[in-house]
Amino acid sequence: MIKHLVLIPDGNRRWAKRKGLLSWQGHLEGAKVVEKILEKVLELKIPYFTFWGGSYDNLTKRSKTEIKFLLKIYENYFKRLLEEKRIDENKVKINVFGRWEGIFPESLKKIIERTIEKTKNYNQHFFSFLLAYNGTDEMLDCVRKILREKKVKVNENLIKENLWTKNLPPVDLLIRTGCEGDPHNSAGFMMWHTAYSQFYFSKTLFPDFTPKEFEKAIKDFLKRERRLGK
Amino acid sequence: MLSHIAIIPDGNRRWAKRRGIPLNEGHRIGAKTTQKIFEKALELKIPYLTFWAASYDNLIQRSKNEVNFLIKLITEEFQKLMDDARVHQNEVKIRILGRFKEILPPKTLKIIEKLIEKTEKYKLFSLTFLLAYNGTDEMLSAIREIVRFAGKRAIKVSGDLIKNFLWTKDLPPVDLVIRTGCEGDPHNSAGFMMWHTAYSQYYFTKTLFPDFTPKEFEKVVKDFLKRERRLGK
Repeated sequence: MIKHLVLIPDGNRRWAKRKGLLSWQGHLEGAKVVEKILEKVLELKIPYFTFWGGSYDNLTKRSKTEIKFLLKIYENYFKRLLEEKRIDENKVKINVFGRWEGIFPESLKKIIERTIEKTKNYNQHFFSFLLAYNGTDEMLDCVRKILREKKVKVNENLIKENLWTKNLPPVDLLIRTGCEGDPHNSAGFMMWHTAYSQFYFSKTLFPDFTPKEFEKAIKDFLKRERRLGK
Repeated sequence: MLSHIAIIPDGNRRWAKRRGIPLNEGHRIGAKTTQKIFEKALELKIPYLTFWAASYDNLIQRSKNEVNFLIKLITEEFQKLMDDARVHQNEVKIRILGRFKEILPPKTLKIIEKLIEKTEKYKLFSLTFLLAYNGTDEMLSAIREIVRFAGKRAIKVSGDLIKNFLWTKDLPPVDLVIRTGCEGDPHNSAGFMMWHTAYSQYYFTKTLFPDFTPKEFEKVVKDFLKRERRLGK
């Protein structure tokens, strides 16, 4: 059974560079892949799907031009999502987690907020976008919230309840693209929810990642025997 | 630069099972592998080496026979380490971290205490064993300690604050996690060192731990040094 799948889409910029294109063209191509993958997620009836759209550093430390384009791509993307019939037909609840509210322009924030508002009562599928998201930030914020409470008993549940992603179940499978012989972690990605995750690293750069490979990764996961230390 | 390698030695039991020999034999050979890897790490001058010797569940949920054997093996290995010339010549500081105090018998605890004390002042190399260790427990403990430390005060929560309350607070971030025994199923367990592995590189090998050689270890280290760490830039 696969309940919660997360995707870390790495390699847009490398893809563009190798084709002699500009970084944002890689991101644009990547955005098209996201749409195809979402379609596949619905087809395969995966209840929880989470997509890391950008780390905090991605959206603050890169060149101004690249950030501007990324924000533009998000804006177009969420505009389309807002009109997307399949979201309503499949009752997909959309959420966005991260520090996006602090750095996104008003126009983009409004579209995101409208998307969240419009889908808030849906409950068959759950799509989460992590934007300006770092796992370390999420844990820091969790600790801050815990400290604000009076008299608490610290247990696993309390930690989970204070995460941004508190309503998501543990991650079963994490797929990371663009790992060319260098599987790795970044920014403590969902550190609490990935405590027992299985990984799938693909060397395919994200713009070349196909629904077919995505389906293959899932089939591969379903064949794995999860020993869980027993 | 490679400062800190953490090793998750998976596959002892599968190794024994496939040979039709008792599971404990897999652990025994695994302990020998640990020795050899430690020696190679000294030779390669890797300052921090960390082994996940056992999860909390490993020492609680497995059969009595296996747990007793593991405890006996751990005790013997630590006893050997105490008199190991390599430890003293290379000034290797040994740390043992986790919830082992809740589980191990007094005799083993005494040896652990002595081992830590004997190497306490060394600072050329660091060798850490995570014992009855879960990463989730480490984070829980850190947050509990932070809550206690803060009391009624408002304190500034930063990455450094979290790090300073971890059991592994004196270790640097993990550069490379090596996990053996991944036969087409690379995965995480028990939130392994979740804070210190925030930006780690991984190496998963299908080699079961008893078959993991210093040669493969050296190959992994070389492979790591060739990787270009983009860090999202």
